[in-house]
Amino acid sequence: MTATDAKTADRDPETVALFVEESLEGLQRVERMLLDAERGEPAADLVPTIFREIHTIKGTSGFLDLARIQALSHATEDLLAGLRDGTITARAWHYGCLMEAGDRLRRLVEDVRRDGAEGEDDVAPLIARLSARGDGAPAHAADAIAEANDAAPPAAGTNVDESGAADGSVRVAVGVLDDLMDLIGELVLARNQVLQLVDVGADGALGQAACHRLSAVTSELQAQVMKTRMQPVARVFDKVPRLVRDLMKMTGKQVTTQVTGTGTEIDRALVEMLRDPIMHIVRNAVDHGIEAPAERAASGKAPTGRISVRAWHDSGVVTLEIEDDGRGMDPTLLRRHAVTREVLSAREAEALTDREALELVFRPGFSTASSVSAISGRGVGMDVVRTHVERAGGRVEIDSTPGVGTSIRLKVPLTLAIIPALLVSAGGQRFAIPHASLLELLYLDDRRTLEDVRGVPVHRLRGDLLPLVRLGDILKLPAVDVVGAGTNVVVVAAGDQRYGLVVDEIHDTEEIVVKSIAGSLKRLLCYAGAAVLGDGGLALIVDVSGIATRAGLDVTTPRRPTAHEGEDERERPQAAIVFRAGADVQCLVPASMVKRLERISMSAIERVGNTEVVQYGDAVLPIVRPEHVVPIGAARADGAQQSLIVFEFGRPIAMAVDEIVDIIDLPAAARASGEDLPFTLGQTVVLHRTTLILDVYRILRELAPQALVDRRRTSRSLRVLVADDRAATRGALAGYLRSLGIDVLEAEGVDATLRELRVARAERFDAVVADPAMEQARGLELFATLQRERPALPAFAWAEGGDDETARRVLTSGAKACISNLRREDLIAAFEKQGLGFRRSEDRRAA
Amino acid sequence: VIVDAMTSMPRVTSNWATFRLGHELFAVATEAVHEVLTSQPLTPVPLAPPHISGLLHLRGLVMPAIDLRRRLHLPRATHGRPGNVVVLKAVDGFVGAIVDAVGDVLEIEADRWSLPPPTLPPRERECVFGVCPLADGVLLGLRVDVLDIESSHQGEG
Repeated sequence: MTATDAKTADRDPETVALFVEESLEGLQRVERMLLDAERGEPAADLVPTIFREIHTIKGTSGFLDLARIQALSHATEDLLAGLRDGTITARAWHYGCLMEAGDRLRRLVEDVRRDGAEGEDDVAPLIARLSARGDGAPAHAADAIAEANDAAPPAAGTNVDESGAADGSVRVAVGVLDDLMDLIGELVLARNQVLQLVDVGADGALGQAACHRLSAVTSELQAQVMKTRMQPVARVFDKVPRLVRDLMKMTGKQVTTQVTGTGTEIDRALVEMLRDPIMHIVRNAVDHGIEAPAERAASGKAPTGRISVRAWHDSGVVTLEIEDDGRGMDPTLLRRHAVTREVLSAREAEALTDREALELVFRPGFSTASSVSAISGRGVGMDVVRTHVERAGGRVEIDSTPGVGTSIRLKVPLTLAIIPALLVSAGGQRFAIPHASLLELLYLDDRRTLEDVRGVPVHRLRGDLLPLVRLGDILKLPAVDVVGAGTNVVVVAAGDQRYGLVVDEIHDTEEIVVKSIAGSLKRLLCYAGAAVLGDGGLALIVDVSGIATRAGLDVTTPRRPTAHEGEDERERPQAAIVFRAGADVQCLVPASMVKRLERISMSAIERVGNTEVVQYGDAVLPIVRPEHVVPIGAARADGAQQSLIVFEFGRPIAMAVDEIVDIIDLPAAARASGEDLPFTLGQTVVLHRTTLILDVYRILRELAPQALVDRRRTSRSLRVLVADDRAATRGALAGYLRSLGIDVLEAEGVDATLRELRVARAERFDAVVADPAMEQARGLELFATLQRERPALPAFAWAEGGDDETARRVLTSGAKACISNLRREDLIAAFEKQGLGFRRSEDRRAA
Repeated sequence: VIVDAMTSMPRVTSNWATFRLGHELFAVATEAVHEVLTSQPLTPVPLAPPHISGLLHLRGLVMPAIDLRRRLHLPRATHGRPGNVVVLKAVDGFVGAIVDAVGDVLEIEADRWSLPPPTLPPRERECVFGVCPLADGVLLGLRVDVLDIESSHQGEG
């Protein structure tokens, strides 16, 4: 054991930690002031302030016996004293020297943090230069100017908008905050248990009142403690100007940096996780994005490039944006590059949209420094950036226009500690799936909707092949008997890939307290942590990327329409069943709605009242005839056999047809054209014949309303389609509804809404909430369309401000209610007024 | 406990919490012991390595429960008693060690520890930093930080 080790052991670890923390913050402030000074904007109190910071470091390092730090800070302090007393005149050389001293001190302090002792760094030469006080520095004016230019091009500068650190703060050890957070988690759980108890048994109003109070206080406490974990993004952004400065020196480029929103706060853990990705993106922006001054001038741009770094917070999501006005990325070149590097075939590359081509930079192995800097603006190691951000529960978006610039946005949640998650079970065990990776929930009620592609079960979801992964199989859990014959599928997103996770049961959505797992369990890569549930039990949090990897799915492959090429979902084919009904009229229904096809003997059909029925297993299957409502003429009533198309909306119901013709892939281009006959969605030409697209749900509803079990009265939670073309307001509303335990699907416009409703199984939604102002007046039109096509589906308007005129027009268009988006709780009241009950889960947790 | 960086051997007199696994007596520094519990309900973790019995939830702390017998490749318990869980502070968080029974706390001078004898099976040796002879047997000093690592030695235990 060396002497240093002995001293290390004697140092009080808390004092050392405090010293490290204080010194690094002080050095950060010193750096910022020096950067300003280098630009020719020295703060008035520059020297005294820096002097004070360095003096503090000198004092504490002496006390802690950190000899190198002490000697270096001493020499720095001497130089500063000279500058302060006016015995030395400040020149760029001095700022450069101080900057270097600051850097070196920081390295030494970081050594102390890491190893508990200073490194073996030789500080003597630097001390010698500091002690020379600039006497040996170039004396000629020309040299001095050259140096000043070297330090910072005069045209370039840094503009940091500080949102001002709050005064009246105290220093609290991070460990204390973590412990507080744990205790709050416990308190939340205890509260949930108490609430359950009161729910179940007690009737006393007193108990309920006390519980409400407990609930409110707990939520408030939770929110407050969460705040203590928050740190301004300044912790990351403050390093950007310095990085850009260093890169400018290395590359000879000129860049102005603009930093805004440094006061935006995110979880402490996220600050750490985002530092490297942001630095990486900034480095790329200067290195590959911004052109050399001459090149910029040649293309008519200002010679000085601009990088702006912004942060803002919107409804629980913090966006960090790094934007440059450099050369941007050319999708054509990216496609070509992908082919050259054999990432994609020429055909695949050709099929990519421009946006998808940009996303190629996130593919591992797509880029290397040499090749990408030659052909594109960005892209080095972006796969690593995305991995980091996704690990933090966020996602990366990229926008680029050739010649104009590139913008990269990192979107991360406010906090990592408490997140909403869906609870499922597989193999008799509960698991949690974070909402962040959740796309939608499916219930496949027929095995036949499963296909097999090269040994992998897939489901055809809106024309796209969705690979299915059985959670129980991947985790090698024993198979358990599941109630019902159908399959529960949780559609999740892992990187670019989406896949369906098959589980035994889907339970509730719950706000879970996330506990990290370490050691050998973390290395399994299947679990993102463990969740402490309301009942005190544990559920493992599924890492959807890890599961995909284990299942052998390539999570880095962008999702493509496997069966058919096409850019847009609307252009993808949809399976349809073609049949003849009435007086030999060809009709079709979407295959996704069909449970099975049957042929029965005519004699098996009985009449019960006005309804035709057939015995079907031990149940009675009602039969409807489309010609009773659709004007297609009377059916021929000959033959001994009757063809049936069996649907299931809560319970099976059959449509009697003349003859099943074929099952085809219906190209969307041919879909839904021509005049509308009642109870149809339009007509098209298939198999060389004009074919009516029947509106199955409306027909069944008209002819056998009693057969349509209203599923929302069962234990299933409410499903609502939220339509708004503004992502932020849509997200906010969706988030609110989800927080109440409502299943929400978002649609980003009128077309998307209609597509969801037409293509998906009709009973999937209990309500539609749409912004009547979306896409100019088309939002209003949507309500009229819904009124016509889906009278049974309650539609609610969600209007900006919700003024009387809007309300009047929306209500005449068939909306059930017009709710101001400022009063979202009114929406719930409106739901309940329409009989859309749901389990009010907000009482159980923080509203 | 101040330990030698190379050998993990204690350098000062210190207190040791002891527990039994079969006929063997193990020790960990008392500072490393967070809590001792009676047997606890565990949440199974699919695909977990064999030395992990499951996850343990203790007032907000979630930690792996280590089946020490399996980790040390000792024969499975035959006594059928539920045993205890010793919650230990390791470098990257807490671990719960499942033991047969908890023993006394002993004060042991630094020089009474010696390196584990070469006769100790390698799979046990990787978890033991040293041994201390007692009047009625040998105390095995356990290395807390290697408990949640899958053994590099294939054992028959």
